[in-house]
Amino acid sequence: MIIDDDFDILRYADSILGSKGHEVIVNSDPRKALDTLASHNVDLLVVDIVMPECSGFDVLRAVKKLKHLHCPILMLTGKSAREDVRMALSLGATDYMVKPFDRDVFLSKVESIVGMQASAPEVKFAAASPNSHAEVTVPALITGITEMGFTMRTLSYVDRNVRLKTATTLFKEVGIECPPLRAVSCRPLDDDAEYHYEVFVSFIGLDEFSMKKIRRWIAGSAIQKRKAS
Amino acid sequence: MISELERLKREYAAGLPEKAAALATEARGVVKRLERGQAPAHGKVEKLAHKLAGSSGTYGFMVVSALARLLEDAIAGGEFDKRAPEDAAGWLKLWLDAFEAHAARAARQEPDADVDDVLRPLGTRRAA
Repeated sequence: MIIDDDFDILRYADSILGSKGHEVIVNSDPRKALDTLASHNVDLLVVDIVMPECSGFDVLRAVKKLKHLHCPILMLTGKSAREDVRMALSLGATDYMVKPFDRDVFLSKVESIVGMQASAPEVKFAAASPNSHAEVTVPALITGITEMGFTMRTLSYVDRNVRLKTATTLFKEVGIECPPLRAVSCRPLDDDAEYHYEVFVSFIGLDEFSMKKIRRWIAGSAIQKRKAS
Repeated sequence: MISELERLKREYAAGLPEKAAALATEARGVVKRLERGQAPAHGKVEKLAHKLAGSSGTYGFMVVSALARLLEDAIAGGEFDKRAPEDAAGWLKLWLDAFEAHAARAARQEPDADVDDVLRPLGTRRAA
């Protein structure tokens, strides 16, 4: 279900998800959406924050009281301030995207979140339940970065949906503040003696400006590599 | 045959002049109030700018989105209250010129200008 008072956003998001076979319910009135959710379950809620009379934060608070509803929640909003991201996460949001949003990043986020719910991890060494608000620090080697997130190698298994903290200079090099992070997937590595798992970590709440900096940094890094070789 | 998203984008572009005009009209009202030494009363401008910033950029009109976001941030950051009214009105007129020109360009679906080049004269962190 997508809750947003902007019909242009509802139509766009509906079209993106519908084209991939997802059944989408759109609702421009958060109060009516909450009425529907009182007696229905959904796989995912996509929620705007700035809406008249009932904000996305109000929706998060109300959803917490609906005991039958255990769906992940993706915030999709024009609010990009770090305190808004923190507030949403503290109220139970799973992930956070800033408008304007990219079609592919949106689709990828939605499918990673929905997929996360659909399949349980096979092995667990250091794990937390998928709906917990744990934050863990793990020693890791970052091997790749995209505007969606980064790939890292770790010694221990990282459960999906766990929030992570890093102490890396990478974000300083890119020129952005380290955003909140969420583990999306973790797979065992067969051929790396030093690290045992490869984890994809998603950025939470990056705005277009920060994504642009990442794209520029990636392009610059590729040029440097070409020069070096 | 055009894709569904392309069709939506064209429809959005067709409706953009009306949305841009609504925001520009409200912004002109703020200019007038500032010039008369009245309180800017920019609540409606902020809401319209917020909505347009999110939707226009999502449909690929990044300059219109960045200009709308710039205005929203300026209001939310208290710029209209901190600056002298004539300075604030002068800045908003500059913003209006840029916004109307680029909204018209977007409605014609002409290629976007460079966002940083557009924002630089208006003084913004994004242009840094």
